[in-house]
Amino acid sequence: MAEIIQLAITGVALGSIYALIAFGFGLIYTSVNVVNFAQGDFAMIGAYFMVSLELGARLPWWLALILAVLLAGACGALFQLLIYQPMRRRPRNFLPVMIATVGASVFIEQIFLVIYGPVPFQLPSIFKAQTIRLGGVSVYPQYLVIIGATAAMMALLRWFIEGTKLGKQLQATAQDADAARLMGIRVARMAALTFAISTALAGLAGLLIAPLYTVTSTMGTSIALKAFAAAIIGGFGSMTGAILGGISIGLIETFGATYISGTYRDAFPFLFLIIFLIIKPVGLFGEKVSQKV
Amino acid sequence: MMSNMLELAAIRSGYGAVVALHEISLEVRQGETVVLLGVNGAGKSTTLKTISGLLHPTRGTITFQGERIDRLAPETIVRRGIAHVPEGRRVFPGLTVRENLLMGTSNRRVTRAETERDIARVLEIFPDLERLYGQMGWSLSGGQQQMLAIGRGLMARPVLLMLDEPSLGLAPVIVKQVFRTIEMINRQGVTVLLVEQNVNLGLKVAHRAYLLENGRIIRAATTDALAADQEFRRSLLGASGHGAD
Ligand SMILES: Nc1ncnc2c1ncn2[C@@H]1O[C@H](COP(=O)(O)OP(=O)(O)O)[C@@H](O)[C@H]1O
Ligand SMILES: [Mg+2]
Repeated sequence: MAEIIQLAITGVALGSIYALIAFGFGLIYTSVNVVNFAQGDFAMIGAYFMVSLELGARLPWWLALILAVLLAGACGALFQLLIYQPMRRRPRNFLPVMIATVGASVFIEQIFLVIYGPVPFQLPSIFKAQTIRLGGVSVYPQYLVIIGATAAMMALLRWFIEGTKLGKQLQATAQDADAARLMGIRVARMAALTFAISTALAGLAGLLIAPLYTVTSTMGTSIALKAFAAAIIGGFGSMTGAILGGISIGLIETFGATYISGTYRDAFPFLFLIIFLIIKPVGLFGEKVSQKV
Repeated sequence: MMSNMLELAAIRSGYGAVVALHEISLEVRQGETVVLLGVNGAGKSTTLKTISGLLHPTRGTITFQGERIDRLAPETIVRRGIAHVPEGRRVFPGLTVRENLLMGTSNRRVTRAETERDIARVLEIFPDLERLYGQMGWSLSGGQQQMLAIGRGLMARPVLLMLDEPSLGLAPVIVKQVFRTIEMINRQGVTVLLVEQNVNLGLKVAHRAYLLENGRIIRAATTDALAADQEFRRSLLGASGHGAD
């Protein structure tokens, strides 16, 4: 029983990471109709910024975390300026933009490889204790940090999107960009904001998961792939969907790796995705971010 | 005051290779209601889209309050005081009535108190919206959406309000209400540029009219003159099939 609870916590924590990135995928997709295949690289960027700020500049972890997330978001805004904006006005730009994000992904990974070198970095867990005991179950504290930080971030985001005028303008732009422009909403800024939020979420996910693995230039690839599966399961754009999709992928991966085969741990999420798509092709919440977060 | 608020000079505009407007010229004076008439496909909506900046003319100039606006983006033009209530209403489907109205103030900095005052003013004009306040845009009927779209346009505090076929698809009672509102808005000092297929209604509410055909203005006259012109009425009523109001 203790083991099952332990695995469940692990699965939910991994799932939170996927949920953060999955919601970012959906936010960009519903707002500007583009799938950003470089999303995972922003997880890597967040982790490397954390390395520089926490280990390099020796800032306190909370300050390093906030700055790393903001910087990842700033990189995302720059990314959309260079990759998305130039093609925004072209008709049928869906495929070209997607291919550009794939190219940009390779480019970003190479840049970080050059800057930080091929030797992986190890980020310390925020709490130094190896494990803590929660009523007979010993838990790795970083898992609890991940779950807590994800919950806080999602709550903040929900407030922003549903409770502020800027959040409403973001939704309005996603629903009808031309009508939004006629109201005076600066849609180019809204696109920048959308990318900034989505990539900041990925950056947070990357620096949170880094202590469990190592920081390398390609660390984002498999995380983003599973997050993409989570986004499909949850339905692009719904926050509840991203969370449920992420957690189900995290749980399946964790339990599959433990009870069936550790070698195929990355296969279980996709096997699940295939079965899921056969049963429910539009995802759990096939609705727009615009309509319900 | 009869100075020109808006002036289009030899405007050519369209969609890529498709030229929808061939060198059209028209003006709207301060305080007027002007109607653009013409059959489906004549270029009425294109004219409004070119004024509000959704389309950019390939030739000619547009002057608003003495300044060129033909290269400006819609986000900027609405800040100058032109609100465009587009064809098909374009209410934000996933926002509530209140939020839709709120979006109308995106063209300027507003205080909370100002926003509430402007919303109250719109609700005074369209009392029906009050009851629908928390409902999503998609759930409204066509008439309700039209009122919301006009109300949202007014939230921008425009000096020039452009309305594209506000009567389209509405029940006759609602149409009457919408047109009474347009007259009232105009009496309150807002200049109106209206596109309407319903000729009788358009002639009744406007001071002057332009008749568009295949992207050209083929006639400009006061509505009184056009209303008295039996042949004009026969030709247009016959062509548009929107005779009765
Ligand atoms: N999005 C578009 N792309 C290409 N052609 C268009 C588009 N919209 C309208 N047109 C064409 O431009 C001309 C004028 O259309 P429009 O201004 O919408 O007419 P109206 O509003 O008077 O009915 C028509 O011939 C129409 O087919
Ligand atoms: Mg039209």
